Amino acid sequence: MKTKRYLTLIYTVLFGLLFAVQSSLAQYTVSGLITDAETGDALIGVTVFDQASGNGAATNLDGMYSVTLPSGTTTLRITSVGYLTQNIEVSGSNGETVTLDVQMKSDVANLDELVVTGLASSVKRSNLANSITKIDAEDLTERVSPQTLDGAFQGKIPGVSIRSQSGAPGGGISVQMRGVSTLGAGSSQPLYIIDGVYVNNDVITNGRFLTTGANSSQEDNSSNRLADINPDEIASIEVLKGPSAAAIYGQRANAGVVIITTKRGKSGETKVSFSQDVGFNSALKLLGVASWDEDKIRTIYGNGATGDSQVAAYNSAVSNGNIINYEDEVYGETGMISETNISISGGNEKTTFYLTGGFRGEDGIIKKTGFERNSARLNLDHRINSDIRVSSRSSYSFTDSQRGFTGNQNGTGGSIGYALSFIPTYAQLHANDNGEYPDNPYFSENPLSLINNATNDQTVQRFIQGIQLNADLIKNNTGVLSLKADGGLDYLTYNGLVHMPTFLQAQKSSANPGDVVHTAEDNINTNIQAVLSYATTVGTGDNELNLNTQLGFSRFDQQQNRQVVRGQGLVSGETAIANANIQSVITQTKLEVYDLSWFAQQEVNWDDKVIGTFGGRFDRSSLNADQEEYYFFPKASVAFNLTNFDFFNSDFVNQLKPRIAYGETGGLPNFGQTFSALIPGNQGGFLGTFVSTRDIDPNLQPERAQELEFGLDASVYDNRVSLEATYYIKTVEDLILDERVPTSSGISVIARNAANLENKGIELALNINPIRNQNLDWTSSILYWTNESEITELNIPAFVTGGFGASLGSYLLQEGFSPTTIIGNPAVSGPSLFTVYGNSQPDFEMSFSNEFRIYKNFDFSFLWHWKKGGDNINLSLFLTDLGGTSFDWNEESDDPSLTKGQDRLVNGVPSDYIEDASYLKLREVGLYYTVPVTSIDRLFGNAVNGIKVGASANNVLMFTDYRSYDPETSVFGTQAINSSVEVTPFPSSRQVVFHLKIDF
Amino acid sequence: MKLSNKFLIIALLFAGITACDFFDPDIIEDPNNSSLDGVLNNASKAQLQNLVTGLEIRHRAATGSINIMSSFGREIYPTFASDPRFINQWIGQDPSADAESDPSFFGSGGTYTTPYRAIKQANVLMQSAQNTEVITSAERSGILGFAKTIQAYQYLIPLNAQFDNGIRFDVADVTDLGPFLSYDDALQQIRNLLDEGLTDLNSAGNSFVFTLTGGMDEFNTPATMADLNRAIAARAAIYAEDWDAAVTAAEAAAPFFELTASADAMNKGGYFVYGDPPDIFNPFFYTRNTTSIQLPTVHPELIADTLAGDERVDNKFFLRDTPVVLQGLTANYQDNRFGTTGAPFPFFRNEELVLIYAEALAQRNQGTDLAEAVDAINVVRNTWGLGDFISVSQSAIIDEVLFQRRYSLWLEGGHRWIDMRRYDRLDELPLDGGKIYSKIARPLSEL
Repeated sequence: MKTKRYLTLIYTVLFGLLFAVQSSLAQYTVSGLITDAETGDALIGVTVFDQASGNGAATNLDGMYSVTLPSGTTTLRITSVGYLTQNIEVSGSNGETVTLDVQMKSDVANLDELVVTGLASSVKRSNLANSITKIDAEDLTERVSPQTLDGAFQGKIPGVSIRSQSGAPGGGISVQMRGVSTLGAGSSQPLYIIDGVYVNNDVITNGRFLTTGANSSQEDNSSNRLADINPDEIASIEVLKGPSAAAIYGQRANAGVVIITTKRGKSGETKVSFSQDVGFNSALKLLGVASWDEDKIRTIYGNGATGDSQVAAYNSAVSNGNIINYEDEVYGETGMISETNISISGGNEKTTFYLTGGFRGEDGIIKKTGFERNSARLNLDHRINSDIRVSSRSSYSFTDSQRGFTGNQNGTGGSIGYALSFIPTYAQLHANDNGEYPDNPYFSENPLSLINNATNDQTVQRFIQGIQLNADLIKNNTGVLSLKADGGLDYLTYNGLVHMPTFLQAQKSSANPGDVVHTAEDNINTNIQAVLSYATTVGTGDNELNLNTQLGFSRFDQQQNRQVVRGQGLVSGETAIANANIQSVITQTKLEVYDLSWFAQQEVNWDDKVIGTFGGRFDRSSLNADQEEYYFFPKASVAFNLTNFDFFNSDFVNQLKPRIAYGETGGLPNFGQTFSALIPGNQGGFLGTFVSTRDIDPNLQPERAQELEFGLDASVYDNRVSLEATYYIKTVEDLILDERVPTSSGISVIARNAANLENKGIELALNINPIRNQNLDWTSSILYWTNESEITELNIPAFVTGGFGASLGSYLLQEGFSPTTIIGNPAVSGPSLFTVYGNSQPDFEMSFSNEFRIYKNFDFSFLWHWKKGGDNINLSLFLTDLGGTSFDWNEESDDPSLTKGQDRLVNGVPSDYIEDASYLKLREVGLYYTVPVTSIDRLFGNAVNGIKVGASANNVLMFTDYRSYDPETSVFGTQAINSSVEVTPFPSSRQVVFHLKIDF
Repeated sequence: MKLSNKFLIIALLFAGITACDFFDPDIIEDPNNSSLDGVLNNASKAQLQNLVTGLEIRHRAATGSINIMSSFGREIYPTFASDPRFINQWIGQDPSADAESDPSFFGSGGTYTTPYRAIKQANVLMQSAQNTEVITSAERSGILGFAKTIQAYQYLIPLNAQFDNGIRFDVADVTDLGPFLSYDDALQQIRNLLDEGLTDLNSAGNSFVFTLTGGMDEFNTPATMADLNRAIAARAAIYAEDWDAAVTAAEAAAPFFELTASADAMNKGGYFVYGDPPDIFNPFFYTRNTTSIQLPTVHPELIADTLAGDERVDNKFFLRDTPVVLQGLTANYQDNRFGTTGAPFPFFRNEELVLIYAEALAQRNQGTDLAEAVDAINVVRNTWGLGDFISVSQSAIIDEVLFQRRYSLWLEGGHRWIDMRRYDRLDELPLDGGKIYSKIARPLSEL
């Protein structure tokens, strides 16, 4: 969040040139030294500008500037990124030299930071009426080496609940902003916009469930496609958490919006930067497995022949020293991490460029799993003339993930963790000298063979292109009329291969051994938008009003093709479908969507005292039942900068800003939900069509969220202590749910607007800069957030959804309850239908981050994240209890006749398996050393401009009572509500990485 | 750049995009499926053919009701290891399991939801046939007669499962479903529907405007479809204990109805056909001796009660190398009826009709009825290598019919459970540590 002063060095020189205009006749010179008020350091690249004459200058390497001004009095505006802007009045007469030294105060509270508030406008944070979190590159990628961009958000955005679904390399992260905003029909994930392009963040499934017998593609453990984006290319992200801020994005913004801006070049000397990270993944936590003895074997396998043979197997394993901890063996790998980024940037006053290439490769903690990302980007900015600017943002990436076989399975043993749950320590599953694995007598598959022989490979190639045009059409004394047009495309092709070779245990017993599923998907998103804005000023002095009016249009289109083909009964070693005995097309579908929008917004700024905005958006979409209907989404907000009023006179309080904002957004039905379809089918060589079991409601409306947000931003003591406090009430109306109609109609479900829900929450952000001097700069930030959801209206009968049914824990949808309520058997009479065991929504979350800059060369930072409350349905424990392998299975329970594992199975299904998933995690730690310029010069002369070395770690420590690998898990992937069920996931890993960065 | 140039650029930009319906694009139709609205009015012959095959596909799903009803009637053990509820709930070993009162009874959709989907499809087919001019009135009658015949077959499935809970009969409009009718009223409606279907078929000319799959080869003209219609009417008549009507209907089903002692004559009938993808496999085909315990197994009492020389035993039951042991149940035999994944599955065979005829005669007991009943029974017995059955006792003859039905119709439609309930003998079925249900509770979606 603070500036990187050295980066602006080159910018300075050119900026200086730009403003070095010819002198006029009567003029004088102002010069001086600009320093940091706290540290006394000379500041490089500070801009000194006189609006009246258009003259300006920038400070040099020694912090000195000199600017020539026409004689008389004028106001100099002194700006530098990361420092508060100052306006200082100077006067002088012809030939005079005035000395003006300035001390800049650090903008710890980021009051001058620009934040997006409209589709073509932004305002200073100090004038903002919403709570919008902005994260800069420094907080995303410069302290740790995140796997994926969304993974780097964790603990940094108040009001946002971020859950990593498994520890598999390559991401898989669910981002939920301000509570539940859909019950499954709309998107539960925010809209991501990168440089103006609406990007695809789908979870593309690969049909793994077909080969493992899991229930649906939700259990494929695929990652969301934000994983294709190289976090190192990102300059900043802005998070519009609720409708009050996101209303400008209308019908797609119910789950929030994340606006991502990539880095751009700066004019000046060409800058080359190289960074190399090397590190490793290791299991964050292993649980341990229960030991075995003859008594336990007899308890489980009885005194018959099976018991006898198990006891013999046990005794033989003991005498041969073959008692094996398979958990350790399977999850105990150390995976290498390597990331390389090279960027070249620079340009001149007309054109700047930023060219970068990156590679990241990492291996998981299970053998043969990993993730690779190759990316390249070229960002160009060109100024055609003083009125017209164009820019282009081009990126390409190729990712390859091997996410292995974890999670759920049925009948096939096609999940490593599931199979492990049933394997005792005396089992002998290792391959013989020929590499052949024995059959696993305890489950349908030998997990060691599965790891080494089965394939789960996904590749994505992706091209994202954004184009932007800014033109000032009319500029005169009364105002400026400008056009901002931008558009882009996001094209991706996905290929998935899941292969179970013929010789796997489960395959051998199948009628057609060998199973392969190929998935191919291509998706193109395009969007185009044009906004006319008119900015003008009316009134003068204290009554000055800055007005900005915007009118615009946007269109979004999506086209997608998907094919899933499967082959069963394979020629040994082959994966092409032609080598299969049974060849089937599982899916061949096409998706086509367009959205159209018209919008207008009016901003009014009264002398930075009162800032108001109101606007609205008319949206139509082909996803709606009525494709031609326009739906209206209004917004309005106002902020009062009390410190800017004359009556407010305090040097201590720098900002005191109450604010209030209201906005509405929409949530669209899923594609296909509004079509009344005849489904094709084949029988006996004939092609038939039959009526779908889903009927349509012709009056279906989009989901609509309305949010009222109140907040107070305050900063005191030279902005060194700042607080942002927000309370919101977000209601979502017309939630789309599948009504279960009497099935005697031949119809099972009809999607209807059936529910309303309400989220209320508090977000607090406290930023402190306790120490700031030459030797130590310490910034600290404490975030706190909490949300409560409740279904306020339900027009269809209450029902239970998600999980594996009420017998193992499920979720309740009922008026008066949170949709995250977890229930289970036994059934009860009363509104909850079943016994209530918990709630997956946390009581609150908090984070505590600190950054220390010591002697200007050492940077040390860490981030703690505490999630309090929120329950999971822990079926991993259930499975290991069934297999007698749970870490605490042998321990004594309250019932002297039963061990803990037995007791849970006998007395505790499902209650004992629904447990608190609180955690305290040390998410990030980083320590860096920036080699002093003098040392670099001594070593490399002018060839090298900067060297930074360091080490960092992600997921460093975890404190939790949760009885599995990580409370962050979801076997069903990204889900609106069904998101806290655990079934033998890919365990989380700790990442430790060493960094080297060299600037040339 | 001059101001005018800038405007020119922008004007061109907008002109370019407005040219292609940029601001008012066409409605997007479902790119993956044809639409229901597209057939309800002015359907083409090809669309009607698709709907006819669609009805056959929905009809084929009737196999989904067999395992549960056959578990209730102790024809099989539902030894599906993936989920303990098959045995806990269907055999009833779980003390809280109760099909008669649990509106979400495990795995019961195949007895209710699935057949009503076929009924819906038949309604859509009939509506489409009514609202198109591309077919003659005889061709239309053929469609209506076929649709009603299949619809009646499907109505009997929920009726048998729901029993005296009754079922809905009028289900054409999802927004305005008809009332629940009592068992007797619903059965009468089904029999009326069959009679209407027969009338339609009788005015349908010599051939259908559509083609049926190979499984319907026996019934692919209006005249032969009328035989199937009467066969189903005979089945419905014995449920209604209208013995006279059952005899009449069976006789009217000739030449499909045939009292010839040969396997070919017995196996003549309507079949569900299967194939490789995109078709589906016969859901009752299981690899012999499969180690994957995901299959129905033959109830040991059927094996214990077999008569020496009964060829049906070897034809239908396969002795496994290792028994299937699951949740306290042990079974030595698995299904031996199907040799390949593509083998057809019967939904109505002459053998059933012969036994319906025997039962109806024995029950009617007029004139030579008992002797003719014994003759019919012996047609079945002789076919499968058993000697003649001789009796003049009405009750002994009926017992023999039920015994033959147990082996002849094993795992073809849950007949044993329905038979034992018809004769109030459910208490004679083995408990297997569980309980015997008499019906399935009305589903949650209907409450």
